[in-house]
Amino acid sequence: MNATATATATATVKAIRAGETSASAVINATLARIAADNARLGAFTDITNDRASKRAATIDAMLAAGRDPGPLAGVPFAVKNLFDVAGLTTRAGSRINRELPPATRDAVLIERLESAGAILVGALNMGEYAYDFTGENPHDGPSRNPHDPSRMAGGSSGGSGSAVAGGLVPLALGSDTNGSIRVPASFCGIYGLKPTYGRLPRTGSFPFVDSLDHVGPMARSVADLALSYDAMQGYDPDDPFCADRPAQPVSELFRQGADGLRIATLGGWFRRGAGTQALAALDTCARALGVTRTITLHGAERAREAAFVITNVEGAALHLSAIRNRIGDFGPAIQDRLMSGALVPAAAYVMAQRLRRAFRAEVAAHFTEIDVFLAPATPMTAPLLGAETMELDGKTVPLKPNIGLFTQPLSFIGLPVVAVPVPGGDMPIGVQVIAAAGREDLALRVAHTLAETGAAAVFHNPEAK
Amino acid sequence: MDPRTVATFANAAGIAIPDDHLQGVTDTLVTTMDMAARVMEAGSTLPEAANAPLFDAWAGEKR
Repeated sequence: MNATATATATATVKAIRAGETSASAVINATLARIAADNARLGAFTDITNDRASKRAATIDAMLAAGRDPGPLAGVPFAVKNLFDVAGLTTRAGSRINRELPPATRDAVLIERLESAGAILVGALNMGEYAYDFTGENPHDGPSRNPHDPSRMAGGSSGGSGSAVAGGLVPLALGSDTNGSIRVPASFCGIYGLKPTYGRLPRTGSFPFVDSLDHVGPMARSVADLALSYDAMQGYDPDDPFCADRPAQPVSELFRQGADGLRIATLGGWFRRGAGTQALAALDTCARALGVTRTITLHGAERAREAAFVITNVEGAALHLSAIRNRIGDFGPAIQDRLMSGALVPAAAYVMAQRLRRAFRAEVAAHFTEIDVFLAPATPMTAPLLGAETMELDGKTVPLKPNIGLFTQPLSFIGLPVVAVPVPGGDMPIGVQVIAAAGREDLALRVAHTLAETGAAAVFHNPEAK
Repeated sequence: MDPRTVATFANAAGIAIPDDHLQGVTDTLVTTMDMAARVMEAGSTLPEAANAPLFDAWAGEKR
């Protein structure tokens, strides 16, 4: 992998502003890498060559005229293909959506990133309708793990993980309902930010589970997460779930580090099913931060089950017409889940929503004495493509429903989480850095300290191309 | 759970489960209901006030 492929967004902006390169040169190199490597990675489903080239020329012209294109000047980025891109059909990983007309407007987050100077280069592969933890798509083929293409990239933002880890783009957008940013970040060895529920607008993105859907960035550094997150913050009245709160910029805060923060690891549920490498990664982070305290969230297991119920029911409700009329047009992996989700009793759904508030209260009480929690992101490293089972506490269990064991309870209550990559094995694995609602700055501060100490680092496989 | 019962119930909801999916849907529903039963039991101990807001864990309180 050459140097431009591993450059961060922050370094790219700096080089363009210093005149060491141009936005057009960066975009040309990016498009060349995508052309060369996408067949191997299965990351992109759409490439917006002309749009990107025109936008790069505009950025270069602005710089030449002494105008400021914004904090992301010339940074290439791509989006999970559930985000609307004007002129493209928003397939959301499905066959059914391909019948829809092309989007007439970009998703709000794309507009905001481009307003900050970033340049969209395409749309990315994903699990069908985001109902997935593996990144295996039945219609477009799997997103592959750049560090071993025989393995999963993770899902459902699998193309986002593969594209960033594989050096195709420094920045990608994903969505996270139950772990779909954090799981591919863990499997691919990069950073991911799932912000507080309602913090970033979902306007112009295809939904999955309204109660639980989040959107956020994936990148190769903490600084890039902060930079892009700040560019995307702000209320949007067109998203009824978006919090009407002022932006809370983090780019000036995250470098403050973890000094003075009270940090604990999560025990109980969050250790029970974790494999050796997941626990080693957690211990590495705890040691780097001098963490000795462990907290058990007693409601975590029930929270995960409630998230499972809400996901099944809302997912089925969203697609009910197609379930009734054309079930065979869904991929085989989700047909049974969608049909069964339509049959779950309403009382179970109401109780699951009740548990959400109760679990939130339990966790909020801990935040009076702890600022940040650490927990594994995934129980294991990336499985082989096509794997159907995994080992959990000495038992063989189905793989797909269990990859998100540690991510689901946290998105269930909307907490902001930064997934950080922790070196240590042949394949990457991640740790979740979890803060109270609205405190993305604290999670990013701890993630930054982990990166500064070397406990967290983007995974590099010397064997990979 | 008898797959025939699942098929009848689904039919009433307007869903015709293909024969080759009937066992798969039944197995998935059993797994979900196993979790749902525990969720319902835990939820039934909580006050009615915990019902609201249903959709908005954090943002709703800020409006």
